[in-house]
Amino acid sequence: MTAIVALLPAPLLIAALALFATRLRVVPVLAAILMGIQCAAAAWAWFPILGTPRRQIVEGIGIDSHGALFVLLTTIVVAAAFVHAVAFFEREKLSEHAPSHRQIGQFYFFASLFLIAMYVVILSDNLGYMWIGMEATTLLSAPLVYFHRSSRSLEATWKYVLICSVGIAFGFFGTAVLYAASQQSGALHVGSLSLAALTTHARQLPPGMVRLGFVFLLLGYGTKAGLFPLHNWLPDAHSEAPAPASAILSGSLLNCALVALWRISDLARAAGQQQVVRATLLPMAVLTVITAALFLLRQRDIKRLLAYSSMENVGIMATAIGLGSWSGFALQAVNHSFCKVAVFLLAGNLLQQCGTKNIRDLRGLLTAQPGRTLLLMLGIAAVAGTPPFGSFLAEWRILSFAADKHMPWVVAGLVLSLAMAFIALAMQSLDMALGNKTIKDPTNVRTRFAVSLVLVPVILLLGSLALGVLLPSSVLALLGGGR
Amino acid sequence: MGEFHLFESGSAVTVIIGLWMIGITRVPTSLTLYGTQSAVLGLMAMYLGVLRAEPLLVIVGVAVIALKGIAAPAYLLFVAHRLDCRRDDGVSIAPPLQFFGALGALALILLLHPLRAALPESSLPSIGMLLLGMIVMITRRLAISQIVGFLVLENGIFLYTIGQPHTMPIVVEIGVLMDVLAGVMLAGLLAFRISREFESIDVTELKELRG
Repeated sequence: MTAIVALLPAPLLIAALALFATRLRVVPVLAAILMGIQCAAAAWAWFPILGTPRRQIVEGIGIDSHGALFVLLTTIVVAAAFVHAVAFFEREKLSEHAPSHRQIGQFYFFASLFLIAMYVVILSDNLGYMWIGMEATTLLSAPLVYFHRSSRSLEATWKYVLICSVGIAFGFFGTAVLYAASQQSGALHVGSLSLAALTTHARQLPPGMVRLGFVFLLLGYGTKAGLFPLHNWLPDAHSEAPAPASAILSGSLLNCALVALWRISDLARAAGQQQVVRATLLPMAVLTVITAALFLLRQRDIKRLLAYSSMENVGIMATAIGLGSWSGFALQAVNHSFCKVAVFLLAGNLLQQCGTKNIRDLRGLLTAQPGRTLLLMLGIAAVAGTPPFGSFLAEWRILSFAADKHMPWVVAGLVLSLAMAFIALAMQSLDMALGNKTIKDPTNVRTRFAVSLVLVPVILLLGSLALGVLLPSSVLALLGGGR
Repeated sequence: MGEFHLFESGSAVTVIIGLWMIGITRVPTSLTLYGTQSAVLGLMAMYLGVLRAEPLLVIVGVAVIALKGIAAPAYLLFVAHRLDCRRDDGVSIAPPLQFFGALGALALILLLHPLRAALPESSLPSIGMLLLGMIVMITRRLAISQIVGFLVLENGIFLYTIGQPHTMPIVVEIGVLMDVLAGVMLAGLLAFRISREFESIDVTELKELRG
C-alpha cells in the first residue's frame, strides 16, 4: 500500500502548483525538484518489489515485478523530461513563438496527471481500470501534443485523439467480451475483470470468446502502441509535440501500451491460446519493424525520423511479447526509453538552435556544433542497436529467442529490417552531421555549450551503455529473469 | 414484458436509429438522433436493472440518459451552432447509397452470423452498431460527425455490455462514461480550433502531415 501512496504526492503537487501558480516563474524548477523526489520515493518503494511474485493489495490494483520495473522506468523518463524541461522552456522563451506562462503551466498540469494515468495502466489488475487509464493517457497527453498551437500540431492532436479513441473503443469491446466469457465459466459466473482471477481460471473460459476478446484488445492497445497498420497517428503526434513531451510519449507511453499487450498476451497464453497470439501479434509486430524501416529511409524531418525509430522499437518489443520473452521485452524497453528520451531531448535543443527540423537544412552540423552533434549521433547509434549499447544485447536476445522457437520468418524479417533501419539511421545522421554545409550562418548557431541542456541526455546514454557493458546477467535477474 | 423480449426490441430500436443516422446529412438532426439512441439505451439499462434487482444498473442507466442522452448532444449542438455547420455533405457516395450499403452490411451480419461460437445471436445488434458507427466515421467529412460516429460505435459496445447476464462493475461503467465525456469535450474544443485555423471543420482538409 505504501508503494502506491508513495507515487502520488509529487505529481499531484505539481499539478496543483501548475494550476494555481500559473504566473510563477519557478514552476518548472519546482516541478523538476519534485520529480527528483518522486524518483527517490519510487526507488525506495518499488526497488524491493523487483523480482517478487504478483500480489494484489487493493481491489483492482496488483503489484508485481513486471509492474515495478515499468513504474520505475516511467518515473525516470518523466523525471528526466521534467529536469531537462527547465532549460528547454528557458530557451524556448527566446524563440519566435515563445510560449506563455499559461501554456507552460498547462504543460506541467497535464503532464503530471498523465503520469498518474500511466501508473494506473501499469498497476491495474482489472481490465476495466486498465482501459480507463489508457483512455485517460490519450486525453491528458493530447494537450501536450498541441503545445505549440500551430496548424500542424492541431492536425497531429486531432488525429491522435480520434484514432486512439476509436482504437481504444475496440479495446473496450474486447474487455467486454472477456467479461462475458468469465460469466460462462463455472468459477467466475458472476463475471470478473481481474487479470489474476481470469488467469487462474483461464482454462475454463470459452476459447472462442478468449480469442475474440484478445483480438479486439490487441486492436485497441496495439493502436496505442503504434503497431502496423494502426500507427498513422504516431509519427505526427511524436514529432509535433515539444521535446520533453515527445520524450515522455516515446519513452513511457508506448511502454504502457506494450505492458497492457503483455498482460493480455499472458492471459491468452494461460488460456491455452498461444496460437492466436502468434498468428496476430507476431505478424503485426514484424510488419511494424519493416514499415518503420522503410519510412526511415526516406524521412527528411529529424523528429519524424526519431518517431519512426520509436515505431521500429515498438515492433521489436511487440515481437518479444508475441514470443513470450519477458526479459527481451523488458531489456529492450529500458534501453529504448533511455536512448530515445536522450535523443529526443538533444533533437529538441537542435531545433531551438537552428530553427529547422529538416535534415537537409541541418547539413554540416558537426562543424557548427561538434559536441552536441557527436552526442546526438551516439544516441542515434544507441537507438539503432549498435554495440556496446544495451539495445544490441536486447535485440540479440529476442532474435535468439525467436530462433529457439523455430520461427525462421520472424528472425529473417527482423534481421533484414533491423539492418535496413540501421543503414537508414546511419545515412541520415551522417548526412546531417557531415554533408555539404547548408547552415547559413554557423556563428549564429554556435552558442555556449550549456551543460544544463545536455546533462540529462548524457546521463541516460551512460545508463544505456552501462546496461550493455556491465554484467547483463545480473541486470536480467533484476528484470525478472526467466523467459 | 420479459427481459429477453425487452432487450430484443430495445436493441432493434437503437439499431434502427443508427441506420437512420446514416441517411441524415443535417448535423443537428443526427445529434438529436444520437441523443435519442443513448436515451433508449439508458432506459433499457434502467429497466433491466429493475428486472434483475440490480440497483447499480439503474444508476448507470440514469447516468447514461443524463450524460450521453442530454449533456453530450447538447454540448455538440452548441458547438455546431457556434461553428455554423448545418449539413455534412460527406464523401462522394450519396446518402441513399450509403444507407442501402449499411442496410446490406447489417443483413449480411444477420445472415452469415460470424464467430457463432463467441457471439450469441443476441449480441449481433451491438456488432451492427459498431459497424454503423464506423460507416458514419468513414463517410462524413466534418469533425463533429466524426465525433458522432465514434459515439455511435461506443453505444454499440454499451449495448453489448448490458446484454450480458451480469453487467460490468459500476466503477468501470462510470469511469468509461467519464472518459467518453471528457473525450467529447476535448474533441469539441479541438473542433473550435480547427475551424479557426482552417476556416472549416472539414477534416479532409487536414493533410499537412504525411510520410
